[in-house]
Amino acid sequence: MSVKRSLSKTYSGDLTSKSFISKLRKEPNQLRKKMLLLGYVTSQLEKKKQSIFLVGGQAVETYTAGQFLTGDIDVTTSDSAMTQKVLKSLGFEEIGMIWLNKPLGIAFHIVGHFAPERPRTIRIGPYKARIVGVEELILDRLSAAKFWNIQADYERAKVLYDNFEKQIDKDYLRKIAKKKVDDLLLRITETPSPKLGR
Amino acid sequence: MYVRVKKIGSKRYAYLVEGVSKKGKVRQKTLAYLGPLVKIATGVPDEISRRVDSKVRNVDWNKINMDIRRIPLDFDELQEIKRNMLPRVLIRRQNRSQDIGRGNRPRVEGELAALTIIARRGFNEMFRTLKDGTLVMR
Repeated sequence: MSVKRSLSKTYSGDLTSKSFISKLRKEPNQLRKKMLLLGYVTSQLEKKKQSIFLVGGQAVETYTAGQFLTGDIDVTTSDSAMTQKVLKSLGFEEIGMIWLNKPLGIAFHIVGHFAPERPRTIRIGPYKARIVGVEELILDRLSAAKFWNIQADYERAKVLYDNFEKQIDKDYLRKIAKKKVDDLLLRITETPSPKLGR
Repeated sequence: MYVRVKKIGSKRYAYLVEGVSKKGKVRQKTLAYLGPLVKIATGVPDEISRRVDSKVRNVDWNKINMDIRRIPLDFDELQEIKRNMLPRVLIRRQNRSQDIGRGNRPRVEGELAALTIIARRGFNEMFRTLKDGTLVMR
């Protein structure tokens, strides 16, 4: 049985938050666990016509399959009060600006209320989660590298660019970069990519 | 007692206000100025709360901070908050798991290229990309 089919079966039906969490605790893969959780939160919010998007460090971790680890799950949402309510129902507690679920070892950080311009969808079992597009993520990291002088964010941008080069809308990337980070974009596009193979 | 936000020019500022009944109508009375929204969005700093406490009695700062946190921020405000919080972020990042085992050492030649290849392989093992760009987690 494929993982996908098995996940759909495991999480099928309209699960209560309690039964969802008890199933989720058995998931051994940390990234899959986070995506399932995000998918469940997304499904609960979409029932109320609201949205939530994965951004920041967790988005980088997802696109790099865990090579750049992060701490909390940064999200933006159209309704933070409703998102907090869903998180509370899943056993999350508010600690300062972070929502933490101690047994799961997962923390959410609602960073804002804006929607990414070009989000992508992640299908995970029966759920769908939304993630910021690679282009916007690259630009965000380049901004951090340039204006906050964080070298690690330049590396993240470079790895993302190299691994998604064929899928990236380069015109869009150049257009947005022109405002602020065109110099760094030129650097990551002109530095040779490693031979990746398939 | 609650928080009111006023936009002046391109910036938003927060005030502590209360509803006062006057001739059958409820009016807002400004009790204290809290500061630019971006400066207090992560919680009213101690120096401001002390200043306000000296003028206004019985302020429930937990409630006020919760009210402030519920105010939607726009992208520029969020960027400014991030910049303000940068020193704290940098300290936190220095201790983050991503640096475990590497510390602040510069990468050796080929390390980033290897990491790129591992990330690509890991992503392809974990996700399938559909024609419309949707990612399907395996």
